[in-house]
Amino acid sequence: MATTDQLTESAEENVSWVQEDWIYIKTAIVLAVFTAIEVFTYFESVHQAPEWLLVLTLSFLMVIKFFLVAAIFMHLRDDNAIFTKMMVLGLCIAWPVYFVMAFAFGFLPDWNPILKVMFLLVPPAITGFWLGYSFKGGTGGHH
Amino acid sequence: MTETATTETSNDHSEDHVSTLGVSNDKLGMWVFLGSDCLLFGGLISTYMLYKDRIGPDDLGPEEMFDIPFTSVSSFVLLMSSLTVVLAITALRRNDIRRCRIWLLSTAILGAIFVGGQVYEFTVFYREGLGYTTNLFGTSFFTLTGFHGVHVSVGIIMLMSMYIQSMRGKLTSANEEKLEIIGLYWHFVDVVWIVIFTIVYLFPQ
Repeated sequence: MATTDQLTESAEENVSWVQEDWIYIKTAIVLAVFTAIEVFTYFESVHQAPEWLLVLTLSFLMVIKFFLVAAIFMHLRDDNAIFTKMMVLGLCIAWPVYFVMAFAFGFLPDWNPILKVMFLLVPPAITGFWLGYSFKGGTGGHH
Repeated sequence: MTETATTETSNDHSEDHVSTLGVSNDKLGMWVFLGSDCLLFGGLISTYMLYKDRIGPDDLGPEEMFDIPFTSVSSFVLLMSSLTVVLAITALRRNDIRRCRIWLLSTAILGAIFVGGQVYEFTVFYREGLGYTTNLFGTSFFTLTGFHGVHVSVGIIMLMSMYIQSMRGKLTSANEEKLEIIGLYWHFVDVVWIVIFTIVYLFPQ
């Protein structure tokens, strides 16, 4: 026969599971709303807006959706920080590679060269600084 | 101190896969694979961006070919499958196998609907005159979305193998990490589609 303590513990556990599931459901709702906004930009009246505004809005929503899935569904928010660092490091390398290509083939506007260099280097520099700053060091994993 | 830690690790079965980094080797392996897959898709998306305008004077371009409302529904279906797979993982974590099975099957069905939609879209494009070798737009488009479709199909096979394991009583909360790793793969496929849907379908052509 279960004691009062055991019953309380089990009830508390159930509440925590419901809360966890509810976080995922709320995230899915936010993702669905963002997708609906993205699709809305396709319709004629909105599609007439300046191209840079559409690209900027769609890119912003895409990045938010990307990080929401990575942080909450892929558990990067709660998991070991090494996974986040691996992902950020990859993005840090990919950013200049793909944007150099985009500039080279004329996908992006003909900005001032200083602005281009800043656009290319500032995001990887900030994340690189954060990565270097957050490394704690250690014994190198020797037994 | 270190010896004690090593002995404790070897005695605890659940810690078998923990590396010196303090994380599971299997999970780390999946993240490394996802990182390399990121580069693959980055390359394919860049190639599409390069060649999307390379169409003949009489060929149909992206503006005429794409059916955005249809693809939006497919995207929504794939997005919701990310929710069902994460619900399957939490159900397994609390040892609710019945609910875990329901969510696993739902995810596989949603994935199959997405792949079915993609097959239908490809068929329509082909009938309208856009084949794999018609022009560079067709080649880069089919390669990019086809590779993604293959990833979703592989994910469905992995989910079904988990479903069969659960039916045979081999999937319990003790080996929940197996499902978590497959979940990571599934979410990655979803994340890649978020990027493809925006860049390929929604960006002004």
